[in-house]
Amino acid sequence: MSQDSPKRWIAVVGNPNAGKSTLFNALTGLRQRVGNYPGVTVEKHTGTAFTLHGEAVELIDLPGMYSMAARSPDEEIAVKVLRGESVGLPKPDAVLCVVDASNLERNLFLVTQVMELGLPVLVALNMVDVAEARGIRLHPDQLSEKLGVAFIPTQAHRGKGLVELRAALGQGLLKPGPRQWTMPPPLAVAVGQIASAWRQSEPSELRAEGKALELLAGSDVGPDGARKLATAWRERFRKEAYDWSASVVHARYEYVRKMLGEAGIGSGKLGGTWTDWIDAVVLHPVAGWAVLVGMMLTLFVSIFSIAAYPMGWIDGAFTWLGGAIQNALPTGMLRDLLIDGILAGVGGVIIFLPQILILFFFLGLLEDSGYLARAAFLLDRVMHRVGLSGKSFIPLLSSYACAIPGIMATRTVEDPKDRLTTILVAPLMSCSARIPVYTTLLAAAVPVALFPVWGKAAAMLGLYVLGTGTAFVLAWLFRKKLLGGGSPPLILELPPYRMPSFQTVSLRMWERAIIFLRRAGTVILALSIVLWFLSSFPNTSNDPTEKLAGSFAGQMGHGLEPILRPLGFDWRIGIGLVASLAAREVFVSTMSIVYHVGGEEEGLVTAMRSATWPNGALIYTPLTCLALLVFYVYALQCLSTVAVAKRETGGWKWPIFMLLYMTGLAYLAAWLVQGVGRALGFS
Amino acid sequence: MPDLKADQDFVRTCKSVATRQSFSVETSQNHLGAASLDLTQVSSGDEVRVRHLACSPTTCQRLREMGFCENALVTKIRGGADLVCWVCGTRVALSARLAKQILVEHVDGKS
Repeated sequence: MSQDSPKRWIAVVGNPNAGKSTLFNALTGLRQRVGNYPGVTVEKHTGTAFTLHGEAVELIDLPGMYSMAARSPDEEIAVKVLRGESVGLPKPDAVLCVVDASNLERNLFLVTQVMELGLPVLVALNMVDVAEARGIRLHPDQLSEKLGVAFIPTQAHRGKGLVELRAALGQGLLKPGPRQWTMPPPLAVAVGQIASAWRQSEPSELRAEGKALELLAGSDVGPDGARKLATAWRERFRKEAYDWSASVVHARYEYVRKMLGEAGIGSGKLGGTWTDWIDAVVLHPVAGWAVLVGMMLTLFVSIFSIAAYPMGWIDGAFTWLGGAIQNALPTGMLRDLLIDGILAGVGGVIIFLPQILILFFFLGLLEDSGYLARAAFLLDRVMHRVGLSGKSFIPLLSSYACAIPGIMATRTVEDPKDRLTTILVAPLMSCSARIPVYTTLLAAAVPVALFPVWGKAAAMLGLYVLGTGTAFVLAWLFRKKLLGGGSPPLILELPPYRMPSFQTVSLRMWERAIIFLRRAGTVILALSIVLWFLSSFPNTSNDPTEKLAGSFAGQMGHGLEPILRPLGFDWRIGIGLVASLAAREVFVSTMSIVYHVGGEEEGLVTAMRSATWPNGALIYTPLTCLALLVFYVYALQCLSTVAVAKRETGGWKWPIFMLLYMTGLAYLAAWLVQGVGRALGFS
Repeated sequence: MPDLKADQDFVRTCKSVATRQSFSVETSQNHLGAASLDLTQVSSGDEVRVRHLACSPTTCQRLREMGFCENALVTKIRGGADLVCWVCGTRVALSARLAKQILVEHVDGKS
C-alpha cells in the first residue's frame, strides 16, 4: 500500500451484545468496556488495527443496533456514523458486521440493511463456540456464497479467527454485496421511482434503492425530486392502509429464514441449558427477589468484612508515613502541610479504595455474567408503576458505581421522557464516592463493639434502599406529573449466562483503581492543599481548635452555621459540606484536615465522636450522623455529574433543576430526621 | 405523483401482498379468526405463530425487527407479570401489556 494513501475507516456494527467491542479490543489492542448485556457501548470509539499486510486501518466501534431505523440516542450515533453524518468522523470506507452466530436470523436482518449502504461489507461470524454448543451447524462458505459478502468465523474473546479477519480486511478484498431479498411489488414500484430520482447523484443502484428506503422512512436528506416522490408515496401507502415498513421487515426476514434453511443452519434447541436452569430461579417472582436482596447483602457484608484487612494495611502504611515525616522534619509549615494537609486529605480517602474495588468486583460479576438484564426484567413491574420501563433500571444500577456512566447508559432508553426522568434520578442511586462518607459516619454513629459487620451491612443496605426508593418515588413524580405521558412497554433481550471473565472483571477494577487514585492525586490533593491553607491561615492562635475557628475556612463555616444548625450540623461540618460540593468523598478528607488526624480512619472516627458543641454536648450523636447520612444520600455533591447531565440533556435547564431539587431534598430530609428524632426523644 | 396504471390496480396489489404476508390491511377480526389469542394467554412452553401486532406503529416495528414479525414462531418460556419468549434464537423479555398486543395462534391449531 502506498504511504500517501489515506487511511481507511471501517465501522464495526452489529446487534447489541454480539461481541463488537470484544472484537474491536482484540483487533486494536484497546480496552473498551465489554459486558454481557445489551447496551454496554453507548458511544463511538476509534482505534487502529493492522491488516495482515501491515496496512493500518481505523476501526470505529459503534453502539449496538437492531436496525437502521434508530430509536434511541445510542442507535442514532451508530446510524449517523454509517451514513457519514457524524461530526468529526469521515464516512466509513467499509463495514465490519459482527453477528452472533448463535442468533443468525435476527443478526442477518441487520446485515441486509447495512449492505444497502453500498459499502464493502465483511461479516465476522462471532461466538461460533456458543452456536456449536447449542447444536447449530454453521456453514460460512455457503453463507458467503448466498449473501455475496465474506463470512469469517471468530471467537473474539479467545482471539480466534483474528488472522483470517485481518487478512480479509486488506485493501481491495472487500466488495459491496448485492441486494438478495425481494422487495414486495407495491414497494418495489415506489422504491424504483424514488431511486431513479437519486440516480443522477448516486450511480450505485443498490445505494440508490437504500437511500430511497431511507427517504420513505422519513429521512430528509436527498434531492428535492426524490424527497417529493417519497412524501407522495408515503401518503399513498397511508391512504391504502399499506404498512410498507412492515412488509420490508417481513421480506427481509423471509429471505434470511429461507437462506439459512437452504444453508442447513437451524436456530438451535431451547431448554435444558444452564441459562434455563438459572433463570428458573432468578426470574421467579419470589425466589428472584430473594436472590437479588441476598446478592446486595453479600456485597455490603463483603465491603465491611473482606475490605477491613487491606484497609488496615493502608491505614498502617499512612500511620507509618506520618510518623516518618514527623521524625524527619522539624516543626513548621512544611511538616504541617504534609501531615495535616496532604496526608490527612489524600490518605483519608485512599483508605477506602478496597471497599470501592469490592463494589466494582460485584458489579463486574453482575454485568459479565448476564444477570443485569434479569435484574431489569425483575424490576420492570416496579419501574412500570413509577412510569418507567425495566430498561431504565440498567442505567440506574450502573449508577451504583458512578452516576456518570449511569447517565450515559440512558442513551439506550428509547423514550425521550423516560430517558430524561432516568437522568434526573440517577444521581440518587448511591455511587461509590459515597462509600467513604457512609463508612465514616456509620462508624462515628455507633461504637464498633455495638455494631457487628452484619449490622453495618444492613445499615449500608438501608442507605442504598433509601436512595433507590426515593429515586423511584421521584421518577413517578417527574414522569407522571412533570413530563407527562405513559411508560413505554419493556422489550429487552436476555443474553445467555456465561462465566464472568476474570480478565474483564479485574480490568474494570484496575481501571476504577486508576481513576480513584488519579482523582486522589489531583482533585483531592489540590483541594487538600487549598483546604489546609484555608484552615491554617490567618494563624490567630496556637490552640488548634481556636486556630481553625479563626481561619478562613473557620470563618466560612461559622457563616454557614445558622443555616446548618437546624440540621444539627456545626460549622466544621459546614466546611466539609462546602468542600465536598466538587466530589462527595472530599468530605472525609476535609474532616481529616479539620480534625488534624493524618490519614488514619480510626483517628478521624475517634475525633468526630469526641467533638463537642461549646456547651459540651456531643456533635456527632447517632441522630446527627443519621441526618448527615441522609443528607449525603440525597445531595448532588458532584460537579462531574452536573457536567455530564448538561451534555446529555443538551442544556443547563435540567442539570440546574437536578442540583436544586437534590440540594433542597437533602436539606429538607436532614431537617426532618433531626426534628422527628428529637420529637421522639432521640439525641 | 406516483404513477401506477390505475388506482384500482395499486389497491389490489397492496392488499394481495399484505394478505399474503398476514399484515393488517383488513381488520384483525377479518383475518385472525376465532382461534387467535394474545401472548399472555398462552401456556409456558407452548410454541405459537404470530398472527397480528396490535400496538403503536413504532412499537410494532421494533417488535418486528427483534423477530416478532407476522408468521414468526415464538415459544413462551415464562409467564407472569412480565414474560420471557424465545424468538429467532434469543430470549426476549416483554411486559405483559405489550404481550397482550401480540396476537398469536397455536402452531398445531389447538386453541
